[in-house]
Amino acid sequence: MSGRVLLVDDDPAMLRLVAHELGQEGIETVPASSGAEALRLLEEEAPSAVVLDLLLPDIPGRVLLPRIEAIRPGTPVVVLTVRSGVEDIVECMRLGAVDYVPKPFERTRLVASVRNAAERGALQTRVEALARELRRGEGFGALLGRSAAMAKAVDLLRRASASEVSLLLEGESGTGKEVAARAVHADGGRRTGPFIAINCGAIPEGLIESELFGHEKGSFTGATGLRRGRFEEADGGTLFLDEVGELRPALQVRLLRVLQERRIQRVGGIGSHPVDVRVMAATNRDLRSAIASGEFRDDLYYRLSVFPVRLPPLREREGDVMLLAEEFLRRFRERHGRPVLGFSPEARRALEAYPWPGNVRELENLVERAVIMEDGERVGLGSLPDAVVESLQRGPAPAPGEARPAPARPGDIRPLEEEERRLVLRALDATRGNIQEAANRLGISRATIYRKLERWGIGPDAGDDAGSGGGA
Amino acid sequence: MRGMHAIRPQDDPEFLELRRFFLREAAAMAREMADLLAGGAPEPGGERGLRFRKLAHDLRGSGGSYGFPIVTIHAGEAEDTHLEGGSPEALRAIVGMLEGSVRQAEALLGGPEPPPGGRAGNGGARVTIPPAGPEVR
Repeated sequence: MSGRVLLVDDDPAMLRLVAHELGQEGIETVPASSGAEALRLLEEEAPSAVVLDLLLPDIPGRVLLPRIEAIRPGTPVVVLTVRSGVEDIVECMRLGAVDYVPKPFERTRLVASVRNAAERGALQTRVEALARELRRGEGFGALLGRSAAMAKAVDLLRRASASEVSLLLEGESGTGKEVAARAVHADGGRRTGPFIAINCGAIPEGLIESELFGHEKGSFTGATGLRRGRFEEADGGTLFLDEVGELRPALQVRLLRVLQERRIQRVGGIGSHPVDVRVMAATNRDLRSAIASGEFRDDLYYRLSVFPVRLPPLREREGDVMLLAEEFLRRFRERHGRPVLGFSPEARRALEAYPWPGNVRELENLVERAVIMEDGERVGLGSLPDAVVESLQRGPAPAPGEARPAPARPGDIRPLEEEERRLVLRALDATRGNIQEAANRLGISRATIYRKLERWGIGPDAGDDAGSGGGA
Repeated sequence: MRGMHAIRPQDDPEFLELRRFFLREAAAMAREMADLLAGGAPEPGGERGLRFRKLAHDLRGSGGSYGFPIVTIHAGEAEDTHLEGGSPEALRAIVGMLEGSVRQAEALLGGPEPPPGGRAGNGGARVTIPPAGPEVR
């Protein structure tokens, strides 16, 4: 949008006067003395508003109004004309004008009308820009990534969106699990239905049941009215259970029943009623370990994870750090009106070397901060946190699949016995309690593991010598 | 609308100049309207009739906008009377009053003598600030 107002009138005296009056208010104008000239100018630039006389020699105003809309949709038009009957005003509004100023005009009336129209036009442009950005952020377009790891995950997510099966998203904090869930919803058959998200770990234990299933009036102290829970709110759409691993056992039972029967009963309610909801869940915990320790039900796990998808941590997404950083920079530059155009070579190297323990969310927050901090055109090392800058000195991040050895500090050194116990239990967890396999991986004998477990007071109740797999 | 006597040159000297230029144009337009009536009232649908009403219509819209409501009144009367099939005498009287009000306004503003010829009948002049008159701003 140019910011200029297009004046369309075949009377040069009116063009001069209106240009002068609006110019006094800082509003730039461009004149057109015929309908044809106005249409030509509209093809060249998008004005913030149009001031239009209805009585033009070549194209009547009522014919011109829809043509203006066709060339520049949403451009506000103020009609400025001698005719002032009610029918004329109604006709103009019906044809799409936003206001009507009769000739001869009062200066304050004209200025107010044009200013309001121009502001409305600017707002319309901004709304359209935001809507485009929102659409770009929906669906799989929101999952930016060129790496092989991300391509694999996106492929699985696309397959999940083509079905109704329960989806379990696994991954570290900040890897985009909710973004992925929204993308699957937006791409699937329930896209016109609601997407309701609930963080199971963020709601107090005493309230989570009511949040999920709703409650009847009077069902507990403070229940002053009926309340629909998230399952009912998601009816016809998708319910996203973030941090599902945080649900306590009693709620896991209720959730399992709902998933099996597709009916919910509100807290304090007598009957149940059906809900049509696709459930997607997410967790950054190792639910298999939680099952082994008795913290999570295996039957609920299997019901939730019909289609499991692992979202890779950012350090495993080779090449995606700068792709994401550039996109975040563009987004925040527009949002905050900053002059930053890109990253300096040193900043790029630092970003690529940093291991990103907080993953994409950490990167996004860092870029936003850098855009705000940086006064120049390129984000330099001075606008990055010390931890990121220090990664330049340590060298590039390890290849995908490799762990970066953290620099040792005195607090990191633990008793050997404690380290042994941690490694043995981790091996047993990874092998689902198969002692023989765990021993093979650790490079020790089966008997050694048995002796250690006995010393630690841990019963060898997982797995057997035949390598059956064990586990919960 | 700005009144005819609400001129304070120090407020907006550019506007003063615009008003003077408008009056020069208005005088030429009123004169052309009088010329069109010389051979009797032009046919409402004919070329001369359309031209007569076009001039009246423009002055009707611009007169009051420039702060000369009397110009709007007389020009509006001329347009409506011609559309209604008014007599040549009635139209000449109205156009006479229109010319008189323009002259009176020019005298009030104290502007320079209008250049010869006045506004051409092309109806498609570009927007320009008139070169005549004192420098503004």
